[in-house]
Amino acid sequence: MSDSGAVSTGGGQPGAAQGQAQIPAPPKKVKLFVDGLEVKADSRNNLIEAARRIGVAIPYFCYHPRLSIAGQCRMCLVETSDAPGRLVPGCQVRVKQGLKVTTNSPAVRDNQRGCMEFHLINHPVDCAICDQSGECKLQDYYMEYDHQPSRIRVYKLNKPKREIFGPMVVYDAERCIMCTRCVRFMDEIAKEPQLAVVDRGSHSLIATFPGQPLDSKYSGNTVDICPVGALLNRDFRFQSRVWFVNKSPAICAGCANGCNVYAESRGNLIYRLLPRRNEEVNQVWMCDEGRLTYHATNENRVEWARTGKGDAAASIAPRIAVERAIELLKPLAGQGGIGVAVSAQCTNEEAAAAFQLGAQLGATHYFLGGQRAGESDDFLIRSDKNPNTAGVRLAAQAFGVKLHDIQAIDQVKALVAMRTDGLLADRLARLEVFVAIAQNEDAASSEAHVTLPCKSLYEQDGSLINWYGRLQRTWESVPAQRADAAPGWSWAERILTGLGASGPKSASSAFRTLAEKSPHLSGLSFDDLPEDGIVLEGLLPSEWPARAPRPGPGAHSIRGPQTTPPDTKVGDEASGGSR
Amino acid sequence: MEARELLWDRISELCGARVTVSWTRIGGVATDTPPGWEQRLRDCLPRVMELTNEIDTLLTRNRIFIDRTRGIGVISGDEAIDWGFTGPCLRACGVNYDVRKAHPYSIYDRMDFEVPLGSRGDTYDRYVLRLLEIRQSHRIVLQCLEQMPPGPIIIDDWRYALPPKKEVFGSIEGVMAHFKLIMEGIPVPAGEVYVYTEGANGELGFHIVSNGKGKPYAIQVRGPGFPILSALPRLIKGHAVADLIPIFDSINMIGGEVEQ
Repeated sequence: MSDSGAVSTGGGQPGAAQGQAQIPAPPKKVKLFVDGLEVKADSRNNLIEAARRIGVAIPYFCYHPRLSIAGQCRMCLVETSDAPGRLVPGCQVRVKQGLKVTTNSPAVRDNQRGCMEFHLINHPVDCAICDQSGECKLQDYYMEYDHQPSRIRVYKLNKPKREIFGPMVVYDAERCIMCTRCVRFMDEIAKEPQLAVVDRGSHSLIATFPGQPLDSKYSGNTVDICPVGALLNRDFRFQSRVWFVNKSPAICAGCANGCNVYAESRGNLIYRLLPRRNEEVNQVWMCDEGRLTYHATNENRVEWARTGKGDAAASIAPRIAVERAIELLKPLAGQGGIGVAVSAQCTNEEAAAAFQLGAQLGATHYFLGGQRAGESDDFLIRSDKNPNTAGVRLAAQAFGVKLHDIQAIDQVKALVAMRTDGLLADRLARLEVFVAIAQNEDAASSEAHVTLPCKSLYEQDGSLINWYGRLQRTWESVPAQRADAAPGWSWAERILTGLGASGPKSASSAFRTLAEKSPHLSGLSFDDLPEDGIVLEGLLPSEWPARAPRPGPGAHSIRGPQTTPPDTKVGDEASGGSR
Repeated sequence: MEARELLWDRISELCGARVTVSWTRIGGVATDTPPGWEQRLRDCLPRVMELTNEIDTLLTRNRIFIDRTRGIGVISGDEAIDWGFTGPCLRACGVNYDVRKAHPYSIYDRMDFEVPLGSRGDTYDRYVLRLLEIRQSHRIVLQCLEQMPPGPIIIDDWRYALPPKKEVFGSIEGVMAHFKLIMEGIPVPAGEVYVYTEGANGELGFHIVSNGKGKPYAIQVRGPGFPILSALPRLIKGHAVADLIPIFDSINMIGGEVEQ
């Protein structure tokens, strides 16, 4: 957050600036009156946030709680007792003891109506073809504050319609209202000033610099905070109207940061991921790479259970596939030479079930699989590209097994893989028995003697532990069933039952098994995990990337939900941006 | 049948459908009357009344008709109220309840009309009552034609009424208002309400619960036909099978409404 201290609404980074563990002094409370109603507000609040406390909505386009104040849109002008007869911007003016604010006087109303009229002068008649339709502030505010016919009798200004800004973002200058939220985001949050305002007056528009596309890893956030349809996500563009998708909470599967997201789906397809507010994980942002992780849920899936590989592969009923897996594994059980590979993409429950299965089979080797490490930065992107490495390690510790590197796979003759990420396909061909619980078709799953379709992280209940030890829930965010896919723990349970043992019948019972064995999880119940997760203090790292959001003091405490309600609709509010 | 066709033709000229009218909107109506429509309505009304009189002379004092309907399917006023009767079937029992008079809505306080009442509550009274109500309706229609001023057909407030198509296709203001009204509806203050009107068969009421959004949280329909139809076993008790048809016809069940 840059200059202009007027704004501070739970924004910034909890736990103060980097390296300092000091707890900020509790904010001073002041009492003011909004439309005659008394409000107790934080002395650092501006008028918009103070009014929001009692449910009075002051409209705004350019204000964003996490960005500096621009005062561009003039939509938030209100009357105060400090400046009678004048209008002051609610985004910039701070609260003051005894201040009287009027948000609905004729002058304020008239300004709001006039503002809307000006904003719409050059706005194209695009709602029918605009992705923002349905979550557009112009539409919402027009109906609330203007609702009058156009008085413009001249032609609208023509501007660039589809500027490709970068890999993620496309820009429509005609729809742009020049709120400059995107420019400020790139300057202040992404710290890569790649956008700027060029030209003047009604000809002004947002532009990238010559030869420098908008290729920041956080460019997708500019789309979320764009209050209108000027910046659009190229991945989501023209894929679905926003009112057709169901929004439900999930955890991004892209890296160990475990950003809280909303998955928006229709049927069994996900259409986009949007950040969900969690101050201690991702604030209200997420990276571009994370936004694309849903593609692995939509495409190239193992749909049906099958036996055999190559030409002999045949889709069969799941029950028979499980029987075949037991048939192959039973003679080897307890003989040694059985390995169990657990991917770091697994939920804690899948990992626990895999270790249970390994114990029943008398497995001698356990392997940690997962996606290869990638790029990292000091904000939200971690180099570990798996959402649950910490959780799988914790489960292994709980079950008292040692995790080997995937390279040691040559030491076993039979392998059960809980998810196939990172398995080396050329080393699998020599296995006598290979049972794969796989989400996607890949080189590894095509080597399996029995392949069982696994649900993705967006499709199943479970829990994950992020890089600093935050235990977070995942949900069945995609309601529709895809083919025979089942959670990994369910396949393990079916094999366990076939072997004469018993396994977890639900994610909740798998978690209970794990919690009984792990001191870190003792006393925790799956069904009572709060929506924003809790911090396992024993796992907290000693070093933190400079700007990574971190838990506040009293980390293990269970705090109330701070996420945005799922039925919140308007663009940036949907991403938790301005709440 | 000819009278019905004459009237349905006028209705279909007005809104393009014969029975499923769907012409009223919040704040007005969907379309203006087509050119010459009022005159055509004035022209056809005398013929409709002529045909009504024909039915009257054919049936009302017809010995056979009276024998088949008088004292058939009798129900008392108190019992009819208990069953939830409204409209002509209730008034045939002598109970004076008409929503248009009891709780006037719309323009009915400006209309001069009478509420005919029966006394016996049998099939014959229900028939006669409907005949009298046709005459009253004729009076109301003529008064409406007299009083209806030319001018706008719907309020000009885009928060509630769809903008004209020219504005929707040609201006961003129009397309946004249209979009919001169609996709999200008119935001109704939170609360619940029961609104009821006098339909041809009785009280048609809607109980709507709003949570402050554009789509109702819950909605229940009180149609006039269902309570009356549910009393059919009671009405036919003790009568010949052949009496079922006159009784059933006299309560004028509308399948689509009862079926809800």
